[in-house]
Amino acid sequence: MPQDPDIDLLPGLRAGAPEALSTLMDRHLNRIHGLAWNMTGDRSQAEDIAQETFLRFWQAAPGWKDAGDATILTWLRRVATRLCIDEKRRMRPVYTDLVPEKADPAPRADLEIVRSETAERVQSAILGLPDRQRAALVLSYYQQLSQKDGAAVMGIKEKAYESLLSRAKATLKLNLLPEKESLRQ
Amino acid sequence: MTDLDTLLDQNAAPHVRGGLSTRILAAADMAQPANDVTPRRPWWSLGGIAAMAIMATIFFIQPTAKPSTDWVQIADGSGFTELYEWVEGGEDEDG
Repeated sequence: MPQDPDIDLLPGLRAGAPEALSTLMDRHLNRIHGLAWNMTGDRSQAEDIAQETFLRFWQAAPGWKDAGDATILTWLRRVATRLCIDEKRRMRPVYTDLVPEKADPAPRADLEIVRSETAERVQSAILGLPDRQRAALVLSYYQQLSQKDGAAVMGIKEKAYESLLSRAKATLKLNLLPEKESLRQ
Repeated sequence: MTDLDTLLDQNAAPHVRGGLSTRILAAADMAQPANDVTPRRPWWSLGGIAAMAIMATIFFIQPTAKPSTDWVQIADGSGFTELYEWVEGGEDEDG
């Protein structure tokens, strides 16, 4: 098994050094935030989940076993995925004081609107998938993990992961490809 | 790239907002390590133990009630020596 590329940060994380946490976030915050966003479709929730994920690792770091069977990034993805599924099950309202961002004025705004609507439909279709299918799709497509790594994140066997992914793609094709045809017209 | 891939590509996640790292670092500063077993009780939670220790100390250092030399002197000065000896030392005389 290849060595964890983040193992160099472990002494600092164990010692509670904020610099180590900061470096870990420089490396992986975008990935974890992206995973959470693809899973929830909500920016504020994605930020909360990313924060919770890193805080949990920060708290667990003193007891982290570097000879374990998972890399730090796999662990972060696993926790984030579970938090996303839990969050969706709870469906609690999210209160935020953040002002929604204004859309940037850009040329050919009509095409931007079409693209945005398509993106929304894709996101809606993804959010309509069962939790585990959605997780497999997000890990495979947006996190670009192999079946082996995706299965490791979800804590399931590769065959089971493959099955989840296959069903997710079939459902999405059914729901989204008519949309694709309409764009061509 | 399949048609589905093309569609999925259009749903790329937005970039992380700038303040998120700072927010997480601030929260981490407040967070306690999960395996830190050192008790961190507030000072006032030790007040009960301190009060019991003080009460025990006061109880054990209290002087026992026995006649002191001062009382004998006071009895001599006030003319009640006989009465004092009768009260305090009567047993010896009788026995």
